[in-house]
Amino acid sequence: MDKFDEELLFVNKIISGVTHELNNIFSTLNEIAGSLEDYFDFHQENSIASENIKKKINKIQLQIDRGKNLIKAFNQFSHQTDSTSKTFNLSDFIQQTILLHRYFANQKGVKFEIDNLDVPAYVTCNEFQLSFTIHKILLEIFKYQFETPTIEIKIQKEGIEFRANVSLNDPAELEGFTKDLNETVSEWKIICQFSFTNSLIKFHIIVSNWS
Amino acid sequence: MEKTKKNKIIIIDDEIEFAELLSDRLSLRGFETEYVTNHFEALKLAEQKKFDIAIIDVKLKGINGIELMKLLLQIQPKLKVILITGHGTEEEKQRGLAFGASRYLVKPIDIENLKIEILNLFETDKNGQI
Repeated sequence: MDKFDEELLFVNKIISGVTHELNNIFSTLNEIAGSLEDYFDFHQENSIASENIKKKINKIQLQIDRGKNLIKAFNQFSHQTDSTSKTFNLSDFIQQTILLHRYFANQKGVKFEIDNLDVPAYVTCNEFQLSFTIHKILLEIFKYQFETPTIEIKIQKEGIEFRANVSLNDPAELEGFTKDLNETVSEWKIICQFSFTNSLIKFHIIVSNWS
Repeated sequence: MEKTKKNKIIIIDDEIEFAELLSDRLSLRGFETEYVTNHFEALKLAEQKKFDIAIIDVKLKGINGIELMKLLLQIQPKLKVILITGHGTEEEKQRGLAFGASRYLVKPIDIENLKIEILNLFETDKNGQI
């Protein structure tokens, strides 16, 4: 294990511990909101006041769900170094990776739209290496100054491969940019292609070490 | 209150607030529940009382929930176990199921879903299935 791996493992341990605690808090909040809901449901309270309180409980629940998703993303990130290769859903993986970048995307005025497969896209590979490559590519995207672009990500099944395609909504913004970046992690057969053309940003993830 | 047969459930979670609230909510749904916050109390209670179902948090202080499940199954071999965890992994799920758990759920728990899982466990138990 080199120094970078050791440092990463250390960071991941801390993130893992913090997310565990946060998850406990959100799980308890979830039960509190549920208990309040139970109170109205089981005691047949039907006044306008109780309806208003129920609406507020739903708002609490929405914030809990928001926190839950963030915890899921951090958990996924912190457990990537747990094993060298594992099976996971590529659609969830992309969503959670994007979620971690949402703050930086907001700072840059970039909006993500994700259109995932209806069926889960299970892949078996080194999750950390795939994640690391995607993070690098997204950071490349954020180096450029765009006028409120929307990045659309679609996960498509093509034969035995799943492809996550990223494209921008306004091709005119890309005029003047031409860049090709290929990231290949041959050991795990994970290939991420990132290319700027004058009409589109394409972001392909090809994982070929299938289960 | 909903009419459900009184089945005895023990909840083991070191987050006392969570354990207490989950216990209250299951009671409201017609189950007889007790909760404890550590494995010492869990084992002591299991020696004294028979339970139908144990809901065990996987990450307990001082012991892994799966290890505790093994000990509880030695005391009460017919006990059905639902493992609950903050971060679910396929590996942990398979390990839990291999050692005797009937269900593996990820927190936060959907109470109605949990109720269905509990009722299904009683139903399969009546039919002589796992």
